[in-house]
Order: sequence, then structure tokens, then C-alpha cells
Amino acid sequence: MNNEQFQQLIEQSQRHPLDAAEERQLRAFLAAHPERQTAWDDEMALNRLLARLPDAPVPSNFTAQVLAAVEREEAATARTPQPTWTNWLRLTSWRPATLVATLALAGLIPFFAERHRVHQRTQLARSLAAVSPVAQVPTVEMLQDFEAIRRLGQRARADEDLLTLFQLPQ
Amino acid sequence: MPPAPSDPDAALMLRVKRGDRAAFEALVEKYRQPVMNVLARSLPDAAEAEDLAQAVFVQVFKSAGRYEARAKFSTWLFTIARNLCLNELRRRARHPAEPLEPAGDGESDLPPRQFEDKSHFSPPDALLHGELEAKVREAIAALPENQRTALLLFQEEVSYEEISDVLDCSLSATKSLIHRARETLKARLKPYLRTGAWPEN
Repeated sequence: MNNEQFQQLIEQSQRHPLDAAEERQLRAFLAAHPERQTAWDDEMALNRLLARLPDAPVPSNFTAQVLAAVEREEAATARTPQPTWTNWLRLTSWRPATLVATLALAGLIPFFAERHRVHQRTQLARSLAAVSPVAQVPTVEMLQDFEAIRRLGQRARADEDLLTLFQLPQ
Repeated sequence: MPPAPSDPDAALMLRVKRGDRAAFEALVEKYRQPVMNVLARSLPDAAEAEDLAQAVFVQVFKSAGRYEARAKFSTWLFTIARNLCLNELRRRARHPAEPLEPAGDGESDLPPRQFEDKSHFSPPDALLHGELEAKVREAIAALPENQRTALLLFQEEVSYEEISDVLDCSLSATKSLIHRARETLKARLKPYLRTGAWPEN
């Protein structure tokens, strides 16, 4: 007998007293493993404590009380007015209403999202249209003449000598 | 859960489903003690345990229409008992001072509780017995809920398989819960285990 079988005997002892064969196995195991004697004794002592714990007191009229409680439940159910179709509609009317509202909201969200997207695109198109005449791209012919391109951004310089002449005392 | 066609209690419950009051009474008679044992050792108040045990059977009756004999009746019953007990423990945690039902509501015309006096110890033995019993109860009540339920069902000779169904865990987890519960009890009750203070009945 090994330790696992010893554990099995402990489990069995929790369910029922050991039979003669199991007792023999146990005695042989404990003779070979005296250090396990205390563990076995503790298990048996706990078994005894738990087994001798008295039953919880149950009143002799417990069943009668349960049956009376069942009858009270049934009477209460019978007293509760059965819902007519109008009551039923009133009771359940919030459910379809909530469902419709939820579906409507769920349907409106993509609609408004799409409207917002279209509005944004329109605004972008208008902005581009406003900017495009200002930012004209130079023609190919102009680009071929580098010198002309270079001068594009330059102002003609004033003829300072001529201005000086005009400013001479009259 | 495996089908339980051979369970005589399931057959009784199917009769309850068809409105058979005698079958329901038979089930209450058979299971009132184990249900009371489990509840009374899980709740600190014996009167509340009794009220809850009644509620368990009322719930069984009310749920009879939905009952299907796929598992043993006792598994179903103890699952209801555990759920109601958990609800009560949670309620107590939220509202520690309020009883389960207000006493003396004037609606009940039931006779007062009638208990049979089962004690047959001589006065000194009764004192010793009472003290030790209180220690054991206290140690059990202090266990974590799943360990306590597993141990109490095991003490009511419910099979490991059924306990694992009630607790909704594996067979090995169930055995482990019971093992841990026993280890904790052995540690807490060590002085009493060694002295053998529990008197022979």
C-alpha cells in the first residue's frame, strides 16, 4: 500500500467505516509508516466531530408551513389581476416605443454623418475655387525662358540717375 | 448534466409539475432535514435558516413547471438552496440588521414553531457538548462559502458529482474544496481533536 492508497482510505473513511480488508491494509500501512499515525488519528477525530454534530432542529409542522406558504403564493397569484389586452398593451407599449426610438437614432446617426461629410467637401471645393485664379501656373513658353522667369518676381528698378536730373534746381 | 431517468425523486417532481400536492409533500418530508442542516450551518440565525428552507421548497414548487429531469432532483434542490442562501448572505452583508421577513406582519395564521426536544445529555455532558458543538459550528461558519457548501453537502452524503454540479465546478476542484475545508477545520479544532472531548451519546 502506498501513500495514494492511504489517501483513498482516508476519503473512504469520511463516507463509511472501513471494512475488514481496508482495516487490514490500514494497519499494515501504519505499521510501515508510523509517522502517518497522527494524520490518521486527526482525520478520524474530525470525522467523529462532524458526524456527531446534531441535526438542525426542524419544527414538526415544517411541511404544513411550506404547504401553507405555497397556498398563500397561489392565492396571491390568483388575486393579481390578469392583464387584459389593453393593460398588456400599456405594460408593453414602452418596449416597441423604445425599440423604434433606438432604431430611429441608429438610422439618423449615419445620415447626419453623411451630411457633415458632404458639407465639409463643399466647403473645401469652395475654398479651392477661390484660391485657384490667384495661383496661376506659368505657361510652358515662359518656363523655357529662364531669364524671363527670373524676372517675374522682380520689380523694375527706378532709374535713379534720371530722377536725380529731375530733382535739379529749376 | 447527465440524464437521471432512474431518480425516484425526479419522478416525484414530474408529478409535482402536473400539480400533484402529495408528491410535493413527499419531497418536502424527505429533504427538509438535509436542506435545514445545510442552511442552518451556513447562516448565523436558526430562525432565518428555517424561513429560508421554507422559501427553498416554495421556490421548488413555483419552478416545477420549468423542471426537466435531466439531473438528479437533489442536485436541482441544493442548487436552489445554495442560490437563496448566497442571496441571503449578500443581503445580510448589505443590511446587517434587517431580518429576512418582518416578524408579526399579521397575515400569517400559522401555529408557532413546534420543535421536538432531541437533547438527551446529562447536564455536565450537555454543557461540554454544547461548547464543542458551538466551536465546530463556528469553525464551519468561518469557512469560505464554496468550501463550506461543499463540505456540508458532503456531510449530507451528496456525491462528489452532484456537489460539483451544485457548485458548478470540476470534480477535482470539488474534492480539493472539501480537502481544504477539512484541513482548515483540523487546524482550528486541533485542541478538541486531541482531547477527544466530544462525549459518546
